[in-house]
Amino acid sequence: MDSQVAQYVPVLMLIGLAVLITGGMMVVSVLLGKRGRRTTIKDTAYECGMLPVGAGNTRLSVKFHLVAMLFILFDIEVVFLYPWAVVFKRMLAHPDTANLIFFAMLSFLGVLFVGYLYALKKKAFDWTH
Amino acid sequence: MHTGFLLLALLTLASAGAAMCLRNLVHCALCVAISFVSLAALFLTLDAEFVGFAQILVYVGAVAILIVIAILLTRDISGHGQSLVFKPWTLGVGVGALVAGSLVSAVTSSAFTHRELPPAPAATVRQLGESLMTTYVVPLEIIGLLLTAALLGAVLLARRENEGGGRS
Repeated sequence: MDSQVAQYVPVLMLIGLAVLITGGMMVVSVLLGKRGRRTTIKDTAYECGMLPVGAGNTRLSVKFHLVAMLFILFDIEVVFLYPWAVVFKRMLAHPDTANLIFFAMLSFLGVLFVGYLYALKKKAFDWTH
Repeated sequence: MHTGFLLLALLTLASAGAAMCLRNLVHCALCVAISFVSLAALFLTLDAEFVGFAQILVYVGAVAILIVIAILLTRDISGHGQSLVFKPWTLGVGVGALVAGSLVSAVTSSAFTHRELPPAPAATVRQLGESLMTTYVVPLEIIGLLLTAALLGAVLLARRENEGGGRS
């Protein structure tokens, strides 16, 4: 069990590094920034040099929700790709299972690709319509 | 191992509690995401690799994003002026304690907990992948069909709503 946990040490290191870098950026910006000299102009959000327009939390169109739902469906598809990818090389090397491992996932993805084409044809990803 | 479990359990409970109590919806969504991540880490410490990674992929990767998008659709995310606590809060705590107590007593008194459990089989992702690609290949294809049906249904419903909205 300890060996299993030991596998995730690089992941933990990566998480630690990410936290360190993001936290470090915030700490350094506070330390180096001149905290005493704050003006309204300085505190205004920087928007590519333009004057900021409107509030930062504008409401999105409800059409984005369809994109989010489609994203969840394709995400669930990826869950099945993970165990498949783990055994892919091993089963492909074996002549009995080579066709199975290839065509099983091809048909699985093919069926979903038909759905993707339908969504594309119906302009589900185009929220300007 | 034990300390790790306790830390993760505490993190899960604390972030879930914060998700219920905080007023800003974006902070709540972040806390939910943290609770999902710590749950995934709990699964990983229990050697359930596939469940752990599925938890990260689906819950952290997709459900948390869906929650954030749902928040972006709402008008006010700050939650001003409305109490988050149900007024007679003793009633809520009492009902919660009653449900928890009955569940705990039911679990502890059942014969299942006194039985000697066989050692848990070590189901690695490789074993899972092998059985998914051999024994359970037909269910996999059916899942593909189901996902496609869900995709078509989502597109069809959203399009119909839009068309209806356009006509009215």
